[in-house]
Amino acid sequence: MKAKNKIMEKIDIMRSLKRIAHEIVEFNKGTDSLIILGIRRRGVPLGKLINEEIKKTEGKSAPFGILDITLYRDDLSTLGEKPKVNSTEINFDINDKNIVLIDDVLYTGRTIRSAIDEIMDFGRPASVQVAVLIDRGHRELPIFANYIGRTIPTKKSEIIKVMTEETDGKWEVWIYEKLDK
Amino acid sequence: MKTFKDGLVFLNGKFVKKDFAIDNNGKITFKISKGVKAEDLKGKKVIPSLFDLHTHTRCPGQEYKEDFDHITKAASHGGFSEICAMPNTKPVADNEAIIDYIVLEAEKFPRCKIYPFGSMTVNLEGKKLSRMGLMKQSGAIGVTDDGMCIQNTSTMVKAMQYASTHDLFIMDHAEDINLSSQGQVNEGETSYKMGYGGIPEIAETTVILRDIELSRYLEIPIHITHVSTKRSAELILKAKADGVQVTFDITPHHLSFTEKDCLGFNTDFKVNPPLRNEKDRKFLVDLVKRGKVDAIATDHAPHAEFEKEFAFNNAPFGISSLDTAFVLLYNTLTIKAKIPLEKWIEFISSKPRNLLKLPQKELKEGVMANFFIFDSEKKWKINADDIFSKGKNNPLIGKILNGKIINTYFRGKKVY
Amino acid sequence: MKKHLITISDLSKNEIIEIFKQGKVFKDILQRPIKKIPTLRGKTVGLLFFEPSTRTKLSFELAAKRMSADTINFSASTSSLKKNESIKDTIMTLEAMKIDIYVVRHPSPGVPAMITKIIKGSVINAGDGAHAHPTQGILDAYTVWEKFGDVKGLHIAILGDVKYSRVIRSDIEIFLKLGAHLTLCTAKTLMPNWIDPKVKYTTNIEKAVKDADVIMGLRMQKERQDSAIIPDEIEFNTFFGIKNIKIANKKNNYIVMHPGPINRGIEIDGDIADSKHSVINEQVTNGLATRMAIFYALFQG
Repeated sequence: MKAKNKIMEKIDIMRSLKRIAHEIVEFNKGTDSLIILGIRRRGVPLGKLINEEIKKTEGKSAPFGILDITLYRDDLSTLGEKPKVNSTEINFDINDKNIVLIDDVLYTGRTIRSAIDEIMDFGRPASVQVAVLIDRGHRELPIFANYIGRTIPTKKSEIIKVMTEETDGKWEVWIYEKLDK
Repeated sequence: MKTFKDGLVFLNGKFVKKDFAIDNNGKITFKISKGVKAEDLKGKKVIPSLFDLHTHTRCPGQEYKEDFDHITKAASHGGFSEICAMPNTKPVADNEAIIDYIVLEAEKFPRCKIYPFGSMTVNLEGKKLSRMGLMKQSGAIGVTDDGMCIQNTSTMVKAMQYASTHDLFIMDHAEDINLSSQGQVNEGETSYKMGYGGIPEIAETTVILRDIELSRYLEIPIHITHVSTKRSAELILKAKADGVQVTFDITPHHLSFTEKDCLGFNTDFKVNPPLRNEKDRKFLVDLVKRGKVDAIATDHAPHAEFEKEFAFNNAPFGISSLDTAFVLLYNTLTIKAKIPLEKWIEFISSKPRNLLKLPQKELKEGVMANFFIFDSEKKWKINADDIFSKGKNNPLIGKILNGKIINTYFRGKKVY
Repeated sequence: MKKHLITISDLSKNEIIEIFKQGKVFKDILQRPIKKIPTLRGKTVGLLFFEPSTRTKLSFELAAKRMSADTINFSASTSSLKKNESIKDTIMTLEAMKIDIYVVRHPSPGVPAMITKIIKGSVINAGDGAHAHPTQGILDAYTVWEKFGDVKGLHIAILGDVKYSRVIRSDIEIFLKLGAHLTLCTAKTLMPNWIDPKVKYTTNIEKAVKDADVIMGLRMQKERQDSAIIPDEIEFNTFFGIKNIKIANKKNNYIVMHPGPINRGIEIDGDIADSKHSVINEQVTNGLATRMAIFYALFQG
């Protein structure tokens, strides 16, 4: 894997998240029925920041939960090494709530599909919306993001790497090129 | 006339390089005419044929496990010219008719001689005495309730006295069935780890003590077969030192394997008495080294494949060992324990013949040719096809051993 | 992790801890309103029970179903399978039905291990005679791990029918692997001839339980009385039963465990089984969660 381009600095990421936070509260008319769910792993720090921005503008944040979609993946049987399962933390009722799923990159759409399936096992929300920092295209399912930080056309051979303070020690977004073996 | 040259011939307890021939009457001769075509035995050993004191021939009645055709092939493949057939056939060899049958049927397969043992009690039930006298007349060479050790001491006394009346060799499989009946393997670490009931050492030693006392009191010789523990052997050696007429044999598997071999649930290691621990095995090997044993006997116990499959506790006891007994002993005693072949060969040939007062098989001028040719240098992997016995329950299948029997001659004819 | 789970020795210490951590996730899932996850969708778990064991079978079956696997049941008493070869035939029949994971209970030690040799999928030993019951060992150790945060250094007293117990062998193995101190307490007739030298043995229950953080009872089989092993239940309960009077002086934070089903008044008194120290029912939930974690770990594409 070879680093090609840095496409976002911390300041760019923060600007995008701030805008997304504003769009979320605008569309959902505040935080009353709002729930933010970060998808493990990088959706979690992104979701937390968005929720902080929401608090800044609305005076209160939305209930925040964490989704681990490992057990809902559709590619488990093709993976050699089984990914470790982490817990999903949703300690509140989701019925009739407007849920915003937060993830770093929207690509094939399969992660969002898994996340929606998992949410449905917790109840019946009023709506499920999706917010991502990067939409890189190449969807394999009819899934779209309601809130997008940046749309970046990519080749399939490229990898978008969102780095967060929590997981990687810094906030940056990079494009990598997969190298032939 | 068939001539052999450059072989190492076992003569008077030593291997000597000597040419010899089988004459037209099937007899050994060392008078060889010069220049005849001869089989080159360079580096190979020529050994007088072996004797097995303890073979389960299974017939009549359990031909699905073994039959005379297969057992005689296995015997000749293993270097044996004589084997003793155990009486636990179906029906039990407890009367002269069965002994007659065994003697007559076995003669149809002239690859080795079969000496039948009769049972001591009817149907091996430990209650009523068998017709030991009539069985002897028909050719029984000894008596034993092998596998079904007589539990009632009073019955054992009478069986010994009656067998002795007819001067029959008495062999006992020493086992207290009440102590052993729940067991599948040696009691101890292995039985614990496998989760099976154990067969304790005391199931063997308590009966050996009984037999020693009976032999001493009745002044009747007794032979304890397949002694498996250090303690058992010590008891017998002590009794011998005290002048009791007790003798014993050990099996190749108790000399070679231990209870740990059972841990993988391989039913081919399930034998009775069970494989014991390394301390016992080492002691038994040491006894052979010191020349303290009376015989080595195979306890060849063939079983059908389906019987030895899966559940360890449902599998019958026994190893099909006749084919490989000698080669296994060679690996265990000579290669690993460094006991020269010359030192232990007598335990599976001349010594047991002496116990039964039978004539010896020797490589001597003018005697019938009964010998086998052993290539001690050859390394080979044993496949199921290499087991000529019908019973393929031999744990050596798939293993690589040193030394291979090349040919066996019986009564002057090549039988393997 | 290895392909099969036959005994605890198939697992490293790290793998055991990993199963515990994953087990906790699955335990959380069992608290949800909808307790089913799609992880093993399209997979088939074959439950082969050659002897009856309602609890273990229910636990495995529910664990598989919670993970959306299909389950098929093959139950047979050994009497209808007297001939050895029919075990093999049975397995081959099931193998033709494309089973992914076999859960095998058999009265004969070694049968699950033998089955691994003739099938393509994974085998989980659900108890083979007195040999092993690794998933019980895992759930027992998980229960302790969850309660105390770690197993290392804890004192565990185990009472009851040690000699004939499949549970004890797996429990001893896993607890020793995780660094616990074990003391067994029972009549000498109920002790095997050999035990791991790291395990202590006493015939005095007060001594056994004095420092124990965990007191575990093992099920006493009724038939033991008929074979000159113990005089009777009353005598056994008096000397080796888990009774209040025997554990009166204990510190407060101990737990009482039992693999179930319990014989009240024999190996454990009812008031203790129902006390706040008892985690017997929680063991059942933990069994479900850890078996889900084991399915997840074993499940190969």
